[in-house]
Amino acid sequence: MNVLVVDDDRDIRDIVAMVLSAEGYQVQTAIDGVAALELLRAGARPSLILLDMMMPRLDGEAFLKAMRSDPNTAGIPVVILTGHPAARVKAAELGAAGYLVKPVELIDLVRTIRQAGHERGCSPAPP
Amino acid sequence: MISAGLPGASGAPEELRTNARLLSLIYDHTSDPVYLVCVEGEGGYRFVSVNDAFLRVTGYRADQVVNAPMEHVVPSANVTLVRSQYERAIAARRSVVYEEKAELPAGTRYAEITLIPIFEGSGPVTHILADLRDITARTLVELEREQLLSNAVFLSDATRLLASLDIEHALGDMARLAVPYLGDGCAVDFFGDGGPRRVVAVSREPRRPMFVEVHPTVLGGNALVYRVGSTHCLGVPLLIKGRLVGAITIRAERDRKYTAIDVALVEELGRRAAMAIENARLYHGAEDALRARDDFLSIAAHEIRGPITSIHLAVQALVQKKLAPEAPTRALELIEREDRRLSRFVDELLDLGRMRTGQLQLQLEDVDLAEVAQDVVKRLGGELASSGSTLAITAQPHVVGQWDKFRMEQVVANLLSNAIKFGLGKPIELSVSQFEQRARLSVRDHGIGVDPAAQERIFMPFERNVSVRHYGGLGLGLHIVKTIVAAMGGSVRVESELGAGATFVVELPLRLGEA
Repeated sequence: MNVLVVDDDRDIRDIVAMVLSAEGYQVQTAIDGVAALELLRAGARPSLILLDMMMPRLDGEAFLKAMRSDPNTAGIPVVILTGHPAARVKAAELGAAGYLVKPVELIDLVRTIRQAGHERGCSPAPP
Repeated sequence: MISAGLPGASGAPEELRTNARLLSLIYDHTSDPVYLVCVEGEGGYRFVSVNDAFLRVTGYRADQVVNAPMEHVVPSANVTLVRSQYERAIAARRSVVYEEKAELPAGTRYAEITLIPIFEGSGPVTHILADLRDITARTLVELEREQLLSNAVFLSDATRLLASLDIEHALGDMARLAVPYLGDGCAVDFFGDGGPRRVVAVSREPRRPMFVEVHPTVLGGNALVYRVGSTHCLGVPLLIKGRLVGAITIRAERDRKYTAIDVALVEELGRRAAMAIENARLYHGAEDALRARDDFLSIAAHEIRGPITSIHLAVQALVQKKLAPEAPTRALELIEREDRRLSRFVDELLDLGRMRTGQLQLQLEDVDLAEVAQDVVKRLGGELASSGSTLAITAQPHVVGQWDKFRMEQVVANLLSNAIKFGLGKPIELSVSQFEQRARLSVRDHGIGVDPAAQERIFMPFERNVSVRHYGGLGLGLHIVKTIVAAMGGSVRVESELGAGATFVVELPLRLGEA
């Protein structure tokens, strides 16, 4: 199972990638919504997208809209990563498979990604 | 006694002669104006006699009045009223009293008039004797009092309308209250940033819009009554602490002439309108400041959450040994980097506090600007590399001034960070030069640029030219740059157009106090 991590904060991208790699996921990263869309358009098909909401150029919401308007990528489950206190409401509103509120606990990160992946019938390769 | 054809004046019985003597006495000794008309039938009345007091009060000459038909003596506007009162007295066959205002050769006069019908037995009324009591002075005082009272009511109503914080709407309501009370048209002009603007124009007749321009004297800050053709105008300035912010102009089409009382009223209205404008401005300013502060708090929270999230995950992964074999070193580096980011963040907040209270302390020493720039570029190397932008440095050697080294580093770092952040990965140019006794630092990017309308605002604290949702950062960087540069006697400006990149230019004297 591969996860696409979209966040403009380099260190968050790096540490999330390190942690998920150690959990057995394949990880791709993108610095913002524009870069993530470019990856998808170039044919990347992640099993799950971990998406930061506040980013320059193309933010999380705009990215979701663009991604869902393309039938090839519309079905990819998305876990949103946000500092917003009403994350749960936002996640439901956006039809996200899950949500994580910054600062994230490691255990929550791993569990949320695993659950969102399970719903799609994916699981990490055994470490 | 000035008379013609007075009953009993010649060859009359004794009784009539006595009456005539009595009449004569009244005529000669009363201070009231008195006149006698002869009832001629079919609505005709003719003046037959007036006394001296009548001539004095009305301003008529005897030959204009005596023997003249009533219509020639009584002002035409009053003929109908006077005739109806005569008819009332004739029908009643006893005296009647009424009040009359008349425009006479002697001016406007108010009188209380007693009409006494004269008749014999059950015979027809042959004459009417009119006794006029001049109540002009008393009436004018009463009218003025009434006007002052209704002015006070008007002012109180207007003040209530002006209490709204939607000031343009409030001024519109005020103008609609002023027409027709003060005239046939009312306009309010604003002279703010962006030139004069007519915010309200109300006219009694839609076919005659309020077109009168603001008079130059009013622009000079003084109230004025003036005429434009046949139109009477009254203009007052709107002043806030002596500064002209607008004007109220009122016009009247008919014979209304503006008096000192009107001027005082509209001046007071102007003072209240100006106060309302100022209140609304202060209120909206405070509201904007609160909004900027709320935005700042949410951004600050976001800016803290980023590094904390990274540190949190890295520490937990290290503690739980959940990283690949080579990863722990990278995790530690990341923690160190984020730790510095948080420290920088705290420094910025503390700087903001110091700058707000004017406690920015400078430690001046010989500083080489090019060296400072090189150091900062080295420090920001990582950020620069991940942005995709390239950096070209052009530095004149030995641009040395008496500056605060740490603060100069902050200036260069903030400008360069912005260029990286908003540069869209395109090339960045940094140059250091000197002309005469001034140093110049310029940082140029080819990114999103700054809207000319926002170019002043971006140097204010908490301001940013981009959406909070799209770009992080406290929005303090340029404010800190401006404050530091100003403390060292210099200036900073931006040259930019939206979408065409931006050039930030800092100019500093080599020594404080030298131009």
